[in-house]
Formats: sequence, structure tokens, C-alpha cells
Amino acid sequence: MKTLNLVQAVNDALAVALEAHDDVVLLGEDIGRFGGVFRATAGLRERFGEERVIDTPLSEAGIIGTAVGMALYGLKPVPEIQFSDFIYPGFDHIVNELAKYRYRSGGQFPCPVTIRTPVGGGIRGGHYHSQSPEAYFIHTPGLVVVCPSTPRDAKGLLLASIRSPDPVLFLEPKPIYRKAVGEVPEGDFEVPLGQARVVREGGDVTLIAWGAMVSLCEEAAARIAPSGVECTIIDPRTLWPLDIDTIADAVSATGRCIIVHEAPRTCGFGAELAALVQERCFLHLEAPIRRVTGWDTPFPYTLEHAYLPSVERVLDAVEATIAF
Amino acid sequence: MTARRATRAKAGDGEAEAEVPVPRERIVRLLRESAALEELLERLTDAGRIGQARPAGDGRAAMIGAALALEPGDLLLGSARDLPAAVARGASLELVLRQAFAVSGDPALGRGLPGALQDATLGVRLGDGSAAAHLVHAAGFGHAARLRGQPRVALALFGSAAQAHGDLHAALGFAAVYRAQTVFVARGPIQDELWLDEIAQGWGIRAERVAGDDGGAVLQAVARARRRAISGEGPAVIDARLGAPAAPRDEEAWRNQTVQDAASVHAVAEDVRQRLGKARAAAEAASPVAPGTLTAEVYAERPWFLQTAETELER
Repeated sequence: MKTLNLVQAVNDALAVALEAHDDVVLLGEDIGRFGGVFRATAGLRERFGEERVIDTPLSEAGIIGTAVGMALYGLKPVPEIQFSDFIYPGFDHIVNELAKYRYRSGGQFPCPVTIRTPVGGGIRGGHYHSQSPEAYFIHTPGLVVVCPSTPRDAKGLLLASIRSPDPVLFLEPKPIYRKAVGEVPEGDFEVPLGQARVVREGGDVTLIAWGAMVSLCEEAAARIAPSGVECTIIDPRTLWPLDIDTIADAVSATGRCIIVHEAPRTCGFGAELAALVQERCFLHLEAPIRRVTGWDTPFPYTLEHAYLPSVERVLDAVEATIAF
Repeated sequence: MTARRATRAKAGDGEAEAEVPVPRERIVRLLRESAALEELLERLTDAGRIGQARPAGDGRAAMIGAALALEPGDLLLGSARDLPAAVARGASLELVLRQAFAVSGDPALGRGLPGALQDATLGVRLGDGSAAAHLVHAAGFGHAARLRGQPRVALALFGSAAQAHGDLHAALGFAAVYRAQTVFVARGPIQDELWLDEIAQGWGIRAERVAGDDGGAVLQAVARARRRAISGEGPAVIDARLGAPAAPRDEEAWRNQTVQDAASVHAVAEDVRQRLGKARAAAEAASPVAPGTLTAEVYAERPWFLQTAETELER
């Protein structure tokens, strides 16, 4: 084991993948010579060469489309979109092409591409460097959507994603790129896709959160525990296809459910989660499912602290749910 | 628009290259076959038997010529309009009609509009969506081929509609930067767009203009571009579009250039008619795509929610 932060764990996973599989190539803006704006690919070009770690022109459609073509050839491309806010010029290639190649061809042309992109706010990035677009991609059949919350999961899930036969959106929570520090297994290891993590167990209320919101919920759970309220925290890790069984088991046990995410509330992934939970846990629920989310506004700059879920907002939701 | 039929107007450095032989009889046969196929698909569309088929029209000769320049490991990308290229690449009439009727025997499980044939064995991927997305995929395929050092290319066919699309810009730009083993071929009519050989320098890509109604010239241009791409000289654009006025065209033009008496022309037509009839009968007799395939191949394995959907479909 070694101690890494989340972005170092991403770098470690990429190095392992490049070492283990000669069909893996990385491509993106400034990922080679510069090592990535967040340093996620630092040192990899020097170690594996410019034909494995490829600097690209600044065109998200070009990056994703090129990766699709490389996958058609038989490579396993891992493109980086510098900020998820910039993914939209490549949206057509993700939603209409990458996600559907396998289906449209009856399985003849699978497209195993893993798109890495930083998500989330709280870094004073403003509108174009802070968004959380997971719902767009979860809404697209054919895509796997992953979001780690710890360095260990970042490494293990990224390696599993790169080896997946399906296209994966790998969302990296940039607010905790350096804040999240933990022990990570050395060498090659995977965290299986499609399995949620039980972060904490408690009997009173289930909190569901991913990415940077997991540690926020952990803080809220720790703060309310002395008052006798015990929280279960579930991190889905793979947002889609979701490990609904682990979530349903937890909510059935506590009878209460709160979903926490950064993206805007309306049609956010929390809405789908709430529907799935009520379908499976209706007779166990003792209170309405609550959501603590970003507001239905564009992501703000100076007011990001007011936009993002806070420990206080989570605690308010816990208390209201318990008191219902 | 005035310039057309300017064969090899810009052929790179102009060095002497051995041309591939032009299989004239084969091209004439493919033109006849494709024209008959298109006519049938239009009739079936009008009769409501199949979804909207898209005509190849004036691009037919260029599509056929381009596809004939390919080798087995290459990948042909285009749109449903490019069906003649798929036929030239080896797609049988029965395969094409099974795809058009979306019945068993369509390798893509009936998921594409008529003409949008996808067959990995043949190396054919014709889409029915964006006019230009496949150009970027072709750049990626050609980039991968170069990285791997393999003598394979991607051939991307496209029409004038793609020229205004950002994906064309991305595709040519990426292909040029990475010296991708990709050949882009513009086919069909040109209207107010610029000829690509006049502007290709902006992307740093070699370009050549050929007469789009001359399948043999297109074949030779694509074969040259293919050879140069796999030898490390980078991608190329072949502009094989047709300006107005543009006649003679396609089969008639070829017939005039090919030594064939009336009897042999009639024999080809009769052979195509008979084979098309048999292929249609086989396709119409084929079983429909099973409802259970609806949830197949969304992912490599069916996740729980698709298993649930499958169970509900079976009820």
C-alpha cells in the first residue's frame, strides 16, 4: 500500500494500464508535455512515449471522435476532457456515436473508450469549470458512468473502466483531487464496476452520495452522531448501471433516505434514485425521500458556497427526515 | 461552378506512380446492380414496405470506385446513401435487402434505416445519422493504424452537406496532425461549396480532384492515396463531386467507354434482375428480428434494468 491523493491515484492507474496493455492510449489537450492541467498524466509521456500519451488539438469533438475511431480499430483509448464543462462540443460523439456503436451494429462494433473528465465545483472555477453533468450521460443507454470518492476507488475503478468492454464516463471529483488522501494498493488491482460501497452504517437514515459529496456526508454523519442519530452512507461509485440492491437494502433497513448531489435538482440523478428507491422500498419508508442538491440555476462564481450542498444543509435534511 | 472533370488537378508532388488497373466490366456491372437496387429500394419505400431509403444518385460511380480501391483489413465508413460502395466491397444483394427489410440475417439486428449496412466481416460501417461524425472516426481509425504500423486505412465517404459541419474540420485537422492512414472522399453533387482541393492546404492535407462520374479515375485516386497513407505520407482528400451541368454520368458514361455490345449489356441487366428477384424473395421470406433482441447489445452484458425490461417484453 502507498498513500496517495486522488489525482495521484488516477495517475497511478493510468501508468498501470499503459504498462499492462499496449493497446491503451491516452489522448487529450495538454496531457502529454504538460502532464494535464491537474497533473493527472504527469510523467506518463516521458515514460511511455508520445504515441501512447498523445497531445491533441483543442477540439472535444475531435478528441472523442478520434477515440471512437481508435476503438473501432481495436485500441483502448482513454481520452481526457480537461473540464467536464467542455464536454458538450463532444456530446454528439458521446451520446449519438460512442454510446450507440455497439447497439447500432448488433454488437459488431463495440467501442470500449474510457473518457476521463474532472467534475464538480468549489474551486472558484465559475460556470465553465464547476458543473456536474452526470445525469446527461446516465440518461444515455449504452454508457457506464463512474465517479470515485476515494483514491483507492479512483485507481481500482479506473482500471476496471479501462478494461470494460463498454464505453465509460469516468467522472473525477476535482474538489477532492488533492484533499482526498488514503492508502492505495500498489500495482494492478480493480474495484469492480456496478458495486456500491457502504461508507458508514447506521440505523436511522440512509444518505446516498458520490464524488465530493461523500466526504461531506461523512462529516454531517459524524456531527449528528453524538445526538443519537446514526447514518448509513452509500456511495454508488458506479452511477450507472447502478447497484440498486445495496441501496434498497440500506433504505429498507433505515426507512429514511436522503440523496445528496452537486448537480441541479430538477431531473438530476437524485430524481431517478428517488424513483428507484420508492419502487423497491415503498412499504419501508417512514418519511419522504429528500434531496440536497445544487439549485436549479447555472453554476455561480462568487456564490458557489450558497449553491453547493453544505454540511448544514445535509444536517437540516437529516433532522427534518427524522422528525417527519 | 465551372471547374469539373479536372482529373488529378492536384496530385501532390506529381511523381510517377504505377496506376492500379481499372476493372471496367466489373464497374459497369456494379453500376447496373446498384442502380437496380436503388430503384427497388425506392419502390419499397414508396409502398411503405421499408423505411426511407436514400438514393446514391450521382455519387454512385465515385462510391464504387473508391470502395474497389480498398483491401480486406480496411474500414469503409459512410452513410446509408453509400450503399453502392458496400456492394462493391462485397455485400451481397440478399444481405442488403435483409438489412433493408430489417429481418434475420442483418448483422446489425435490424437497427439501421435501409442502406445503413454494418458488417464487420466486410469492414463496412454505413450510418444513418450525422452527415460528418464518421469522418472523425475515420481519422481515429487511420491514426490507430499508423500507431500500429499496419497497412490498413479508413475510407470515409461524405457529401457536400458535411462540408459545413465542424466534424469535417476536426477530422481533417486531426488526420493531418497525426498523419492518419485515412482517405476522405467527397462524392455526389457540389453546389455552392468550395472544392476541397482548393482549400485543403488549410488543414495541411493532400487533396486531389477527380471526375466523380468516372469510377475508374476515383479508384485510381483512392488507390494512390491509400498507398501513400500507409507509406507514412499522411491522409488525403479526394474530391469526386460533380458540378452542374454534369453529363454524361454513371452507367451510361461507362457503357460508352466500355466495349460492350447490346447483347452483353442486356445479359448483364437480365442477370442483375434475376439475382435481385431471388435476393428479394429470400429477404421477404426471412423471419423478423426477434423482440427479445431489443435489449441485446446495449452493453456487453445485460444489466439488471434491461433484464427487467426483457422479462416485461416476454409477457
